[in-house]
Amino acid sequence: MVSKRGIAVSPGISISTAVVLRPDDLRIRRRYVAAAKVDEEVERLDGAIEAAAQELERDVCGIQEDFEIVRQVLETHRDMIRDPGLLRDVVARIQEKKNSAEYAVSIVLQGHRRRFEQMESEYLADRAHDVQDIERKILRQLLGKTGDAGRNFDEPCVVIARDLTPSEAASLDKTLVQGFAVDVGGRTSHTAILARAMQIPAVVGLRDLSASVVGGEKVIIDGYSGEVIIDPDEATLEKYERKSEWSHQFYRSLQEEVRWPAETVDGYEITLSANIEFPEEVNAALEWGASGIGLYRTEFLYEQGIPDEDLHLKTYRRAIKALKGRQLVIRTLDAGADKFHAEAVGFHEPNPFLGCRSIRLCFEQPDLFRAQIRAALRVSPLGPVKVMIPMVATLEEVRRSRALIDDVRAELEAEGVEIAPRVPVGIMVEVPSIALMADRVAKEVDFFSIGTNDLVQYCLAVDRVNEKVAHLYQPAHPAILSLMKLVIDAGARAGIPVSLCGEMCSEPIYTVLLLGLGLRHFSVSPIAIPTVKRVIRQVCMREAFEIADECLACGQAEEALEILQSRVRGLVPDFS
Amino acid sequence: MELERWVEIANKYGLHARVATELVKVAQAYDSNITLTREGTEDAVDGKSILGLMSMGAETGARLLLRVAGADAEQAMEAVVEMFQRTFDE
Repeated sequence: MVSKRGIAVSPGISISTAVVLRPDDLRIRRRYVAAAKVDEEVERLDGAIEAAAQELERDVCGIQEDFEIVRQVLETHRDMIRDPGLLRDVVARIQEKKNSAEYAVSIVLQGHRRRFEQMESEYLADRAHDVQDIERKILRQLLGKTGDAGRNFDEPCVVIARDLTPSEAASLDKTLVQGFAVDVGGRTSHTAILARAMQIPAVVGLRDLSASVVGGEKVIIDGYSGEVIIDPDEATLEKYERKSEWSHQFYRSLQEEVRWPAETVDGYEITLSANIEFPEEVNAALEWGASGIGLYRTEFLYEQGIPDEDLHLKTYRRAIKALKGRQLVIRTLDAGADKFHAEAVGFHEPNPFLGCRSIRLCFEQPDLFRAQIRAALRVSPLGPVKVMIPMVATLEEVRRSRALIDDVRAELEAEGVEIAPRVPVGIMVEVPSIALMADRVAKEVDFFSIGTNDLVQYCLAVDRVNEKVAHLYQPAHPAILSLMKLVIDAGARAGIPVSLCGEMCSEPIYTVLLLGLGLRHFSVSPIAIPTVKRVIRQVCMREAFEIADECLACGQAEEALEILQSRVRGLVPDFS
Repeated sequence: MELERWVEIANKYGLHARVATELVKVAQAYDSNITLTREGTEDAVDGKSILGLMSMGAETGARLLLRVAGADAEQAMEAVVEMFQRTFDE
């Protein structure tokens, strides 16, 4: 049994047989052709474009009636491939620069892709994926890789792939595909959108899953938690079969509760916001009943390199517009040990989680930080925006961040740019040092947001993705609960809001405990909103205080979990 | 013959894929050279190129300068302007 965790993008649970779609190797090198071969190259291009268009034509004909979204996508792709402007540009490159057809196609379409990616309209920015898809279509023809081997199957299955394009998805038999598990992509990838349209569970961002599956294995895709399990053992299988049955009924019943307030039985009002990564997620979050965005992670902006102020600005503007007056908490760069980070720092770090990341990196490279802050301040007149600084460990860092932000504000004002008179600045509480001195820090920030994922990791010295020690990652550990209590109480004394945005907050088993610890602002993944709300609506605060006291008194996490489990059982399905 | 006229995008989501597809279909029916230039810019986009039209990023309310040149310019202009006036049947 192997278990991997990715980003859940379409809810539901499917248990079925794996079919793996292997990617084509379409890496294109910079190649040139001899002047005498130019005409031949252009002819080859013509042939490939025509063949790609015909292939799409066949796909369009094969689409079942109830899959209109894909039909429209494919028709647009066909027209893009036949675009005379595209042909002209590519031919010009072949003739003038003597590029190979492959290289010319990929350069010209890359240009289009970039232009789309920069667009402010969410819809048009998404069209970059379409451009990438047609690029692959044409390149596959040019490279003679047109076989659809392994794509045919005749019984229900889950599809596992490195990546999935709309045309690939369209060539799949919708009556048989029960779910998707894909290595790359985020919440707004085509896979995510298609899976939601098909109403089947999907998990993306699984990194190397497709490499570790041969095909034919039994696979569980959990579209709630993002868990994908290959070759589950008997007990796991049974657990998921139960969960699948439960969730089916449960989510149907939740639909009507979306507009109900998040209020305890005895009338305590709780704020339930959503954690998102893309502005495109705002609408889904609001549909699930979010009161705003409590954590907007901005790291994806850095995936293609260091973003300029304009890209930040356009992206934030999209989010704030979609929120229509609701709150947006923008977290500044929180880069970990990824590729971007290594490049930016310029040296290899033996222990990146204790290295130059997040705010430390921003101090190292102030231009990076300034561009982000400028954009955040510039969108502030459009709606309530807050800025949140991650990975703060000292009061000096708080002061330095604030000074930098004040400086940027002065700079913008001098330029005559309109900024909201007050843009609150808060910090993530995720390094234990800050939690321990929360009282002093609370006087110098506008809000706290407890980031339990890192707080647990730094406090218990556990890397939760390391399988050997993952069991030591315990959010209900008495030390963690004490730290959280310290922070929540300090916030209350200073009169600043304290929220919690770690994954712990999305897990209903902890909801009662968090309420009892005094937490009033929850920020959770969009899909967790109705579940957490259901628990909140059934809790009486006096009870919650008692439970929190009991948990705080426990000597170890297991004891606290037992108490919590007995409380939550029956309120929501067994999601543990 | 060469003609020029301002048109405005009145449909809700701007010059998106379907609208661009429709526009290209009409433009391709004529021999004339058809270009569109967004107000405030210099780049003339080929009216027969869906990628070009979409990558203008023209949203609702955007004003475009339509230029048509060729033997059937008059008919082409009339057909394209009519599409804008009908807001592409949206």
